[in-house]
Amino acid sequence: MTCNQIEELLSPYLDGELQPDKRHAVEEHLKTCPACTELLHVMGQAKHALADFPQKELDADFMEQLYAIPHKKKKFRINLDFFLEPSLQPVFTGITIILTMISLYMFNPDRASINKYIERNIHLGYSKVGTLFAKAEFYSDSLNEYKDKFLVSVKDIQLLRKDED
Amino acid sequence: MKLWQVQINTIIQDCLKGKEGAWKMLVNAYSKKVFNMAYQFAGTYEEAEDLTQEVFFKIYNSLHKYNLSKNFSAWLLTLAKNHLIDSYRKTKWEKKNRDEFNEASLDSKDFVSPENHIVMKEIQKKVWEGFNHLSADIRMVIILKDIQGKKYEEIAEIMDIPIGTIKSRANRGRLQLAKILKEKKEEGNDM
Repeated sequence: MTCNQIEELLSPYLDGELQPDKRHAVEEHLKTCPACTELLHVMGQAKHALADFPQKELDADFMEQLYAIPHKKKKFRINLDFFLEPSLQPVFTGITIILTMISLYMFNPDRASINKYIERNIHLGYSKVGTLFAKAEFYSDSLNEYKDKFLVSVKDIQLLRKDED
Repeated sequence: MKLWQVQINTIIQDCLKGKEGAWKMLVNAYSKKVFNMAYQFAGTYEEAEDLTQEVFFKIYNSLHKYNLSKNFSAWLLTLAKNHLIDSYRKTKWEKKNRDEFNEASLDSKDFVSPENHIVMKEIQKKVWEGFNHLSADIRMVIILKDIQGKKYEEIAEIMDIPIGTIKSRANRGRLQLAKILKEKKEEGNDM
């Protein structure tokens, strides 16, 4: 076993939690490796030192503060957790995009040309719609014309048949 | 259910009814444990006091959520652990200094000779300083396992992570501390 592999086993070795075969492997390695032996020794010292770490006592004033907790008013806090709900994320994304676009427009130094561009496009849009309406009107008139012609020809056909009879 | 758990459930129910004596009993039973956990974790007395107060404030406001069939000690320590780690992560950049290790508070009765006592003081001082090099999660496992002497199963319940992860964190933490101790020893020998 390498030193790195042994390092992983030193903590359970100290806790006495290693299975006999692994424990034997660690002990065999330690016989020939002073670095790992030293590390185990220091780990043991640290573990012992931690187990005897001093425990602080609390002073009476501080205990009084803890006793008084039920009398303290609950801090007024607005619950903003609903902002984190995943279902609202597309809404926030949309709002962010719109706000970004508005800010790009509002703070653009060349706002006048943007306005012109928008106006021109609106105007173009209006004229396109006007053309479309004109075309629609033309098609509607043509259809009416065809309809009338069709009715006249149907009537003519009926009259011709009567003449033949 | 164990007798202590029955007693603690009665205390909690009394707390919820607003009985002041019950809250005092709860504070007396757990304040030292929570405070020392906060002190070992954060490293300064003032911060440990603030954190302990915040933890008990949270406990008081969350008591109604506690399930009486569960282990109260584990529930309380989970709440404390979450608060300590969250606070640490929020203000990580402020957590660089620890109080000087207070040697005077060491109990010398466990050491056979004055020499051993001095050696142990020195090691504890180095370990205390070395805590700052451990990540929050590893530091918490070392505090619960090696200082508070909890079993791996209890720590897994408090930290709400698998026991294997706890053992691996304990191993990493101990190795880190041992390497720090070794380095400091070598520095001391060089001087």
